[in-house]
Amino acid sequence: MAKPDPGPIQDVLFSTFLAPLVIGGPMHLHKPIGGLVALAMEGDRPYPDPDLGSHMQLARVRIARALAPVDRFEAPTSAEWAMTAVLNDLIQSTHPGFDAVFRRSSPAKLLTILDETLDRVPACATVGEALSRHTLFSRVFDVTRTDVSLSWWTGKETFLGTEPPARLKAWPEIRRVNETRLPRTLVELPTGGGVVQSTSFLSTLNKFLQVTPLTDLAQANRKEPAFQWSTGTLGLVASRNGRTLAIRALANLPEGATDDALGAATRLLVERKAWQALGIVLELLGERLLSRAVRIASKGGDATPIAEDKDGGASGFTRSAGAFAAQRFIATTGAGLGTEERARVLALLGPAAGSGAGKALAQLLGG
Amino acid sequence: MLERIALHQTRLRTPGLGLEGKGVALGAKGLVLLPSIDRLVAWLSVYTREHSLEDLMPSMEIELVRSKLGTREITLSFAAESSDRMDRVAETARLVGGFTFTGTSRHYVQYRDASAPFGYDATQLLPTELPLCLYHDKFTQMYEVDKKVDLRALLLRLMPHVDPSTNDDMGPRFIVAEQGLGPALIHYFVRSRVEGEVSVGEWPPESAFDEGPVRRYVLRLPELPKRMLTLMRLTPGITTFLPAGPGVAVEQGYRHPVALRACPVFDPNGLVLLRGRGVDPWTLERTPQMGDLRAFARVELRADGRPDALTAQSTSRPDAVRVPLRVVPSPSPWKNVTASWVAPEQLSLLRRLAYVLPHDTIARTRIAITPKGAFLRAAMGIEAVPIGTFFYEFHPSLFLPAGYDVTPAVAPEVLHRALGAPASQVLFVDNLARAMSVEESAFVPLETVLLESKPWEPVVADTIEKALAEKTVDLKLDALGAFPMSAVDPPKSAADGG
Repeated sequence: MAKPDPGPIQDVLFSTFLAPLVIGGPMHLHKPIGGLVALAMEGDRPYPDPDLGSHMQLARVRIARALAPVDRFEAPTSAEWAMTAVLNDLIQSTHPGFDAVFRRSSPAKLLTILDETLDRVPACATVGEALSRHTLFSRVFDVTRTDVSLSWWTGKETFLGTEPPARLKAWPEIRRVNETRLPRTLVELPTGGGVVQSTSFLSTLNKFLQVTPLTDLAQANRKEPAFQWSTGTLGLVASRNGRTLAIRALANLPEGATDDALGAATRLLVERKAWQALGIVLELLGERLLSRAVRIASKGGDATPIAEDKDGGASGFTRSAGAFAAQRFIATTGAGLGTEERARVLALLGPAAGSGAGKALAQLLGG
Repeated sequence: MLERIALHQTRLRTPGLGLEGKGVALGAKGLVLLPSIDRLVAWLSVYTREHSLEDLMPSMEIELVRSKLGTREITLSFAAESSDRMDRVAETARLVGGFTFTGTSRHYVQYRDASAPFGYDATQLLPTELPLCLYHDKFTQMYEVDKKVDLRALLLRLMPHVDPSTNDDMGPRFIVAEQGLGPALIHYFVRSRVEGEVSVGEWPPESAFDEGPVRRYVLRLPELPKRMLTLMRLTPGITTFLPAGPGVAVEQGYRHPVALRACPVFDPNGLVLLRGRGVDPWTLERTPQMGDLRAFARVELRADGRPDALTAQSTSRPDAVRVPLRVVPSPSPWKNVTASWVAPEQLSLLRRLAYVLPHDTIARTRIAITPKGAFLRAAMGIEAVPIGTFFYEFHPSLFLPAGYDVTPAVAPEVLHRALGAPASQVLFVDNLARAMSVEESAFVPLETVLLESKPWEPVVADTIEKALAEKTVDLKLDALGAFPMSAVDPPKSAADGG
């Protein structure tokens, strides 16, 4: 079998898919690429459009600098190209064009191939690599398709991701043309005219997020697919620098929803008795709650303590477990706080740490 | 005798009646029954306001019909073609008190209405030899044709209504001048640089006492200067017509009851001039040859016997024949006072006055500040700013002091040309005949210069926000193509060396 030449595909994919994914603007999908070609894509490929390339690199730096003081990134690696091709195919699987005779089974086949391909994509070896992948795929949930419903005096038609022809919009008052634009986010695409099963799509999307763990964490508050701790995210937060990036990424998200997502995912670790992974996660939650408590304490006045876990919800679990871990962190390292400040922070953490999961963890760890 | 047609009914009794695609009963022809000629005119008037008669014309026939009782009514028949056309016609007929029928040759049944959306069918046909038999849910009537009515003749007989709003209409027009006035009118237009074409039309003598055919000058002007509109309208012997469609024009000050542009009954190569006051229209079967107005400019030859050219013996400065311009007081009342000049020493007064001027005055006044003072202009009148020397508009770009006039009494264009200022300059001639010019672009709204500028600090937040705004990732779908999965291969398994 001839060796596939992915070069031209990469060039097209860059201009129509990858650059719009990073910069924004109209995004066009490539014909389904498949795993063989995706994994054969070569890294460090020069950009076909240098201007667009430098624009994209600038946008990547801008995304990265929200988390870390990075000044430049290399061109996408082979793994990142493979992920780009997979994401293209993943979105392509929701194409309404598959709703036709002899084609309805294609999206399912495509997703199977994508799962196999993602298994071959190497996990992030360094924090820098995780950050690099994040700069490329941080806006994956921003992908939006606009569906247009057009009705006129004698009929109506829906245009999925395409613009209605001008002739149908002509003479809007006389023909009583009514146009409704409905934006559909990435996770709504399977149910918006596609034939792919929503659960399979979300499962593959989750698998994709596992190979870009910083993006996974930076979108932890999403509704679907629900955030779960994976090897990739645990590997990232296990390292000192990775944890810092993760905390910064989580700090940009709404507090309540993020607490809910992290709590639900961490509870699963407890249920599976994954103690080693739980230890890693508790460190993250502890540092996160510590930074929250320090921020509250620095405001002065009568600060409100971190709310305790009253109802046993996911959010309360995150707070109490995190407060417990933060208390232990202060007890063992001092957390760089002065005596007075430490007392204030501990007072803020106390109610949460002494409730719900914090209390259970204290009993579990014997103290 | 009529029954409503039910949904999915396929069999109809009326000959020539069939069901069209939408299930509506339709014959080959449509017919509108109107009680009188004025209703017919009303129908034409209403219909032509929205639609053209062009598609109905080939098959349209207007007939005067008579019933057995001797009543005369009007029928308007045409090819039905589709229920859309019939609906339009029926709607208009309903508005003017007419009834709409459909059929093919003799028997016509009532066209559909709100109570019978698919139309009607006649349960029993009347045995008759008369050419028209109409079945309505309120009556059944037979008619014989009295005579045909020619639409063109009808339109020519209709008297245009008085409509003063057309007096100010601009655009192309025809001017008909009596034979004696023609040459003078042509020279007037040539002198005034009005472009156009002229021809001479001949009409048969109006009575046996006339010696020969009546000749009139017919001028076609693409645009008539506004100042000439009243002159052309009020001068006896000159009649102005506004084009109302191809080959037809209506006298200025009148409007034809029917939109003639929607009635293609007039020959575009001829010319029909419809006159008001109930007088007969002027008709030209063929528009005569038209020539450029400039070709008729007055030609004057030098007297015979004089040398062809004079040769100068020596050169010297010619004697001046021009006289200086004088501005003299005028007894005529002030009008069109739209500008004023505020001298520099009065500017402080203008500043104080600004606090009491109403908003309307400030909004509509424009000002130009010059070393010689401020010039104010307001198209609606400048009297609301009661300082400075008032000027009135003598020419769009030339102002004279109010209460004064120029002598010699020359036309505004002539004076403006004599002063030699470019078109972008506005000239103010004071009472000592000194001319001051101000650039037109120097005039700015008074309200923009009224307030002193306050120190300000640029705020760049918006710019930064705009620069940081991210474009949305807008997914556009393209067609998948014939074989979308043709290039999709799974990755090689580990055993294959993948």
